[in-house]
Amino acid sequence: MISYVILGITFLYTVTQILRYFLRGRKPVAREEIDGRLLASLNGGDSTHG
Amino acid sequence: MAKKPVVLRPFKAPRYSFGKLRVCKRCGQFTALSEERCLHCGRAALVSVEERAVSLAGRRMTVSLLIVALLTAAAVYFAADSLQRALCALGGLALLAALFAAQRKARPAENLRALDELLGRNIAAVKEGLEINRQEAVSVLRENDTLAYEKLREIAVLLRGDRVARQRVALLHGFRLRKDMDLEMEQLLLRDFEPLLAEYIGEVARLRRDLIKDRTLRYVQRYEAQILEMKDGSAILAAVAGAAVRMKRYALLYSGFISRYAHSLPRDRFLRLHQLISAYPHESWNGLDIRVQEIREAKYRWDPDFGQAQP
Repeated sequence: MISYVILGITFLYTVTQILRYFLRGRKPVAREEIDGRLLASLNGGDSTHG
Repeated sequence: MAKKPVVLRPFKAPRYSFGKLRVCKRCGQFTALSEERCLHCGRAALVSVEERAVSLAGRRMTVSLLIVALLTAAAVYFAADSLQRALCALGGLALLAALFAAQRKARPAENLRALDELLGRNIAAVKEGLEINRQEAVSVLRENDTLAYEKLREIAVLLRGDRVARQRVALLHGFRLRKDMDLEMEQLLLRDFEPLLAEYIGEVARLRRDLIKDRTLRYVQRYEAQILEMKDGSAILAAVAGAAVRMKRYALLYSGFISRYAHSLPRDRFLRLHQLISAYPHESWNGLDIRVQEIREAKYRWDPDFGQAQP
């Protein structure tokens, strides 16, 4: 029985990870955004990291 | 002051500013300079931030795969009989395969997310690293001003404020500029008036007209009165006006400014302006066409290259 419980946990963990990749992939971070945020943070702009 | 002939190493700014940033794998110090060894710990462990982010994202994904593999192994270990053992092994392997496939697909997006997180989490360290870089550039200024300029040029990819730009302008003032140099213009513009910058603009306008663009023209227009008070102020303004007439858009946008210095334009620049106005007589030249006609009548009346302009 315990092995099925562990397998269940493994299943839930895997699904969470895959779901996370899927959701993040739907709203990816663009290089331009990273560049803009970095320059704004370094040069006192309004846009901040995080 | 006699200007010094210099040879600057070719420099190409990366497409994205973070392309200039490297981080030490050992001590985590950030740098924008192209040194081989870390300025902080002295080890040759510098990698680009993108490489670092790829490695961090990869490590995170490997940890996830390991967790699934370990849990599968535990499930197999605690199985009561061989059927359970086989089912758990098969189930675990299927989950591993599914996670691996999802990771492969998500890898490019995860790499960029890791880069964003790396820079965001370490922004204070990035600032500190760049400040150390700037101090390093200033420290070599007395012995080797060319090297100091090259270092500041690299730092300026990330630090776009007036402080670094002012130091670069001051160094450039001591160099004899040439047409074949990797000259910059818009990156050096300051918020307030700086006579050394005005002189530099004048030199660039003479050597590389293509570098005189909107922002430079606006800067010159804003500080026109202060530039006129300088020793060669009117020559600087005439050179800038001469550079502006290379494009119809600039000639139209800054027609008032060009009009004020049209009489000082060298023959080739005036001819260009004349041809521009002749080609587009119905544009709203804001009086520039009349001024050009007057100058043509006064200075180039008998010049065969100047046809009849349409005022």
